[in-house]
Amino acid sequence: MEKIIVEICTGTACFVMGSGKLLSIEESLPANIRDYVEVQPVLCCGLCRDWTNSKPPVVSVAGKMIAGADEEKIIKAVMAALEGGNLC
Amino acid sequence: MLTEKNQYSYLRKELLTRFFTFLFESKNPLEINKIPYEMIPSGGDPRRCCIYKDREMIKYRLLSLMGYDLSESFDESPSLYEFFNRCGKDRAPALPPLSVITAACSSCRSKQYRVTELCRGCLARPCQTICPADAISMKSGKALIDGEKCINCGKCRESCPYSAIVYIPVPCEEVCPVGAIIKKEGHAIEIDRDKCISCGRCTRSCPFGAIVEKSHIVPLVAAIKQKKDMTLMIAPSLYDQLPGADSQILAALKAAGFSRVYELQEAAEIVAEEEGKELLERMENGQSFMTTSCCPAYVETVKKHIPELASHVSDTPSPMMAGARILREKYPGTTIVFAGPCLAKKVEAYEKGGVDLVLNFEELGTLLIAKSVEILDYPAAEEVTSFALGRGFARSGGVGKAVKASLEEDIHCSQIDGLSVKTIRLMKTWIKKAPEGRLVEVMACEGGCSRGPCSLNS
Repeated sequence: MEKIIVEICTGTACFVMGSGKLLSIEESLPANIRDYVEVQPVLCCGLCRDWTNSKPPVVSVAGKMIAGADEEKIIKAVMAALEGGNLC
Repeated sequence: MLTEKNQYSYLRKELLTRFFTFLFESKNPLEINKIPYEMIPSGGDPRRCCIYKDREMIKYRLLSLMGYDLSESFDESPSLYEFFNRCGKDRAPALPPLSVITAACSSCRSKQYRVTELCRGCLARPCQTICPADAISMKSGKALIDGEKCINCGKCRESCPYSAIVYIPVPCEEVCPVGAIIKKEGHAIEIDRDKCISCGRCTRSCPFGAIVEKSHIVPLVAAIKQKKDMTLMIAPSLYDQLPGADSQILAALKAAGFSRVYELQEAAEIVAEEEGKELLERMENGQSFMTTSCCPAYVETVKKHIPELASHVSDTPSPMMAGARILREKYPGTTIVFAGPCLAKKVEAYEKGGVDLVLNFEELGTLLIAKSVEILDYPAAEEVTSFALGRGFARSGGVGKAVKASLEEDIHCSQIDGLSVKTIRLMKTWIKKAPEGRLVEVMACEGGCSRGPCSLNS
């Protein structure tokens, strides 16, 4: 089964604004989805420069961008991606 | 304290980033008036009663970032632009480092135990039976605590089988280890300057963000823009806080506007060695124990609350002061900036001199954001961990370990990991009965500096 890729930006802005703590999100994922998720640190894509529309930290879940990301938003997006793929 | 992940922590960093961006990039100083409106746009959800108060609180936070003291009453009518024009731009603001935004303080009810609606008015009534102050009566089938009689012992809460009794603290008062929060019912809190040790815990525990610290970033940016020779000293606790390898972090910090970056672990090892020598000397002179002195909040605690202990505190300067001395000799005209996770360092720097400006890690991190410095764009050199013992100063136990390593004989070393009402009470007993260790390492923050109030990712 293909894993859901969670890309977490480790650029300066995203890291300082909170992605540093999201890098270890795998540990806090609910047990039933943990095995379907792969966390990858990525470099800055520049989106964080635009605070009005895409606040850092920026995270992408299965290719879908989340601005102002936090644990809750990521888990929600992972669940949505899993349901979309009829995995659950 | 609040968990690190919270919306106030985000707001603080967002405001710092916007203010730095204004300071560095804006061609029109009037643009500072826009910051509250950009942070709190129309149509958003208010955090307080309305967005207008939210914006006003942003204004006050900006005043604190400019170095104004908000505790005293002052004319609030000028615009941010006028305040900015008037604020000091060539030196750090005067002490004290903390002030209270009275209008942001929620004027919490005094700490109390309260019976919630979960109370079932049971037959056994253990709460009423156990209360030593006879403060619990029954009203409409539920227990009721008489605030006048209650002595806040908490026994009723422990005894209730339904968990129906809750403790409602005043968060700032709860974390203050020295009773420096003056709480009068119905009023905003005040900080008792004679008691405050500037540990900074209250700033990170207030859910309304009402206690703020005066920042040094206006004089910092002014100096960078004047292309002055700037030396940044970084505390050993920095490395875990930013992405990338150490070499990348150092190069990035330099690119943010500093002539050079000095890692304090070297000075820390010199301090450890000096402290080791001092300890042996003191023991020869018959003194039973010595405490470390690198934690400025602890030094303040001794000064204000346990003066009898002063003769036991090491006279060796802290790594920050030792580093500043080395740098001042090498680069006489340089502006020395210290960056760390600590609030009390502002007091130490101001009182002892030698360090021109003090930044915290939130300010350092947001400075990099505002200058668009990408840490990971810099080449990563092969990691050579030097001064491992000096780096250990960042964690509790590390200072003692480094001092011990500098000595040939084995010396018993103990530690106080975090100041609290309890540990301060314990330290007061040392006047009569010496503690177990010959050397006692004292850290105000539990876990050491790396868990300091102004850290980013501890």
